[in-house]
Amino acid sequence: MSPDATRRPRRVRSLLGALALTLGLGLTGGAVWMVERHRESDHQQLLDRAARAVSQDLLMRLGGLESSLALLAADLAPSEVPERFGRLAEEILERCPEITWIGWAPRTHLDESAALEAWLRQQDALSLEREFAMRSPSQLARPWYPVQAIAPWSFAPTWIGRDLGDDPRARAAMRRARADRPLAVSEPLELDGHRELLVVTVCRSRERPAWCRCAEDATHGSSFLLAGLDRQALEVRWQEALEAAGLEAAVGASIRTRVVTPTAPGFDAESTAMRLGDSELLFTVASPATTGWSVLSVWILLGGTLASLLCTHLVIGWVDRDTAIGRLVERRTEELAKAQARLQNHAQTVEDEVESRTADLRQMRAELLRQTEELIETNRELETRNQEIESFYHVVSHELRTPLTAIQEFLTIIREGLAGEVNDEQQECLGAALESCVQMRRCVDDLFDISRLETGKLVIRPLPGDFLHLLRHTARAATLTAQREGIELTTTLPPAIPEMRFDAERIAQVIGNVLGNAVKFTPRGGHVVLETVLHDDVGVVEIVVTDDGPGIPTHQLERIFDRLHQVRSDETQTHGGLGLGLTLCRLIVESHAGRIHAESSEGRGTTIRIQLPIDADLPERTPSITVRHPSHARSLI
Amino acid sequence: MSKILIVEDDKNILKALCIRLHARGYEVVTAQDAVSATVTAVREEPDLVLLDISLPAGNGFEVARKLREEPRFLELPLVFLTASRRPGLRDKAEELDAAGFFEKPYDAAELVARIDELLAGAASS
Repeated sequence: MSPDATRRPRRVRSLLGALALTLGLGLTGGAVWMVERHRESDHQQLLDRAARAVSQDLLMRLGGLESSLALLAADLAPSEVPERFGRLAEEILERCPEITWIGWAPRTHLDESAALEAWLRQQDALSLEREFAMRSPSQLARPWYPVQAIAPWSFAPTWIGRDLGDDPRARAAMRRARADRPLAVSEPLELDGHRELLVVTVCRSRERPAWCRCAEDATHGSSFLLAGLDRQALEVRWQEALEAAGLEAAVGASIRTRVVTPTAPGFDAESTAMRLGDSELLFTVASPATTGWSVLSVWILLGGTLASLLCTHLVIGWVDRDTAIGRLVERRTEELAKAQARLQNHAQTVEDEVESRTADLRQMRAELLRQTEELIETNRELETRNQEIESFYHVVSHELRTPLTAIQEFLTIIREGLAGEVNDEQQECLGAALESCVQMRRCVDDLFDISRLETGKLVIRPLPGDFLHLLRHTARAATLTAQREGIELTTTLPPAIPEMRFDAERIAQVIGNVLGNAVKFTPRGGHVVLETVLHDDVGVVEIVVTDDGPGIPTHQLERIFDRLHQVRSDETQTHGGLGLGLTLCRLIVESHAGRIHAESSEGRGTTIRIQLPIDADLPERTPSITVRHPSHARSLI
Repeated sequence: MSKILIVEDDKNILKALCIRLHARGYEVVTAQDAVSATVTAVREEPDLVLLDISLPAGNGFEVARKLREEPRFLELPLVFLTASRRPGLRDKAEELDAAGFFEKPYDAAELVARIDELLAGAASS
């Protein structure tokens, strides 16, 4: 729905409301018009039917009436008229059931009033009111009242006019009355010396029928107007008639009017009783109740109007609702569009961000993968290199040891005299050569240990053993060396050492190394002390080696256990070696959970202390002692 | 007189050992590679074998293994010599029921003492 379509102008709302109202009212009016027209048509048809019935059927049936009336008028004395007329009327009623009321209005005459009154009294029907209460044939009781006849479909005014004589106006009136379809017009009746005319007709409307006017004319205005007038007009007419007749109001004329119920649906009736002197006359005016709208029309009008208003209200409500919904929809649509735009922006931002991050991550991942591969490759290369290095060292070690073995062996053979006599001078030369062999072997061993350090293959295997025995054995070997060098080695051992776990080969290497260094750096005639102390209280065996050597400068003291360090001095140059010994010693002692340190000052000799715990919880195979500064190691190769 | 088979590929070391052991009064036969070592051992039936581990056409352990397959060499004393310091060699030698294990350069006195000890035992038994 586009926003424009929802914005109905106010003009459209008013237009639609007006259209609905107009349409509803138009339909209502049309319906009322139709009903009324139909009703009028019905009424017309009714009148026509009545007229036909009267003119065809009733007239036929009343055919004998005229002669009867004529006979009646001729034969009867005025006093007998009511009775005879009553019989006649009864006969008529039998023949014509639709006629419910037949009355006879005699010419009021002062003379006859007494006789009439007597007759009425005789018939016990003096009360006019009572008579008018009778409405149906079954209720009709004799005698007939000398008033008028009322048919259910109309009223049938009946009157007897005065002698028309040869009055041309009367005859003209009679003609006009006949021409205006009177139901029946009697011949002038001769009643008590007066000629009177009986006219039976149907009143079609409220207008005074022509025959009424004829009757007036015929009676010179002194006759009684019976139909077509309302009460007021009747009274006026009555007054005029009285005056025209020369009857003064003084004689006691009065009008008494009462309303009677219509005798047929659709007709109104009004009766008026008039007293003139002692006589009383009753007039009934009946006419079709065509005034106003029918009840149905009124209901239709009301209902239609209400329905129109309701429709208008609904239409306006619909328009308003439509408009309100439209505006709401429009507003919501705009909000949704904005929200959608925001969401799209946000989504785009997030998407961009995610894309960017993803790209970064991909790049990082690729970089990491590349680095990992490089590392793996480097690691592989290093491993291969390590193996190659180790293998190389093994080969070198092997190839150096083999000739060294041969040299040492031949020198020993010669020195032992197995190859002939050897004089003292030769002995001394051979001793020096053998000493060089020992130095060379130490170099080879250092070289081998370097390879072990390089590749992390130096393994410590602690096993339960007799530490005291190890000390003795090592000290003995060192003593022999010291003696050869002219150095006194003093050994102090405790009586017993509890069994402890240690790698005999490596510990022997440590002690031998320390003692060898002490001997090496002690000048001929010097003194080396090996003292072993058992600290029972802390469970530690302490091996202390003291020499009379040149000592170590303080600034170098803390570096002597560093790998590849060698104190640079004339002595060390003399004694050679790669300077790896003390580093190995430290590593081996630390692998036994012990510690080694040196105390010295230049020119005051050196003391090395090795402390080993007796009950250290050592694993079967300690991890390899790994090289700490491989770059330094490489530089050595 | 006890007979010693010396298996050593380095001819100088071989020569030195021959001199030393001759001087000690032992009969010496030699081999310089793994194949001839086995052949010589089978042929000469020595009382002790000095066996270098690194040999052409094999190694000392293979020679020892082949000899141990022969029932008559089950009790034969085998003394290993090696210039190699590869780890595990001593363990392997012990698995083959070695009578001695010396690293080169060996201490000649210790070696001769061990040989004397082994052959004295064999001779007495």
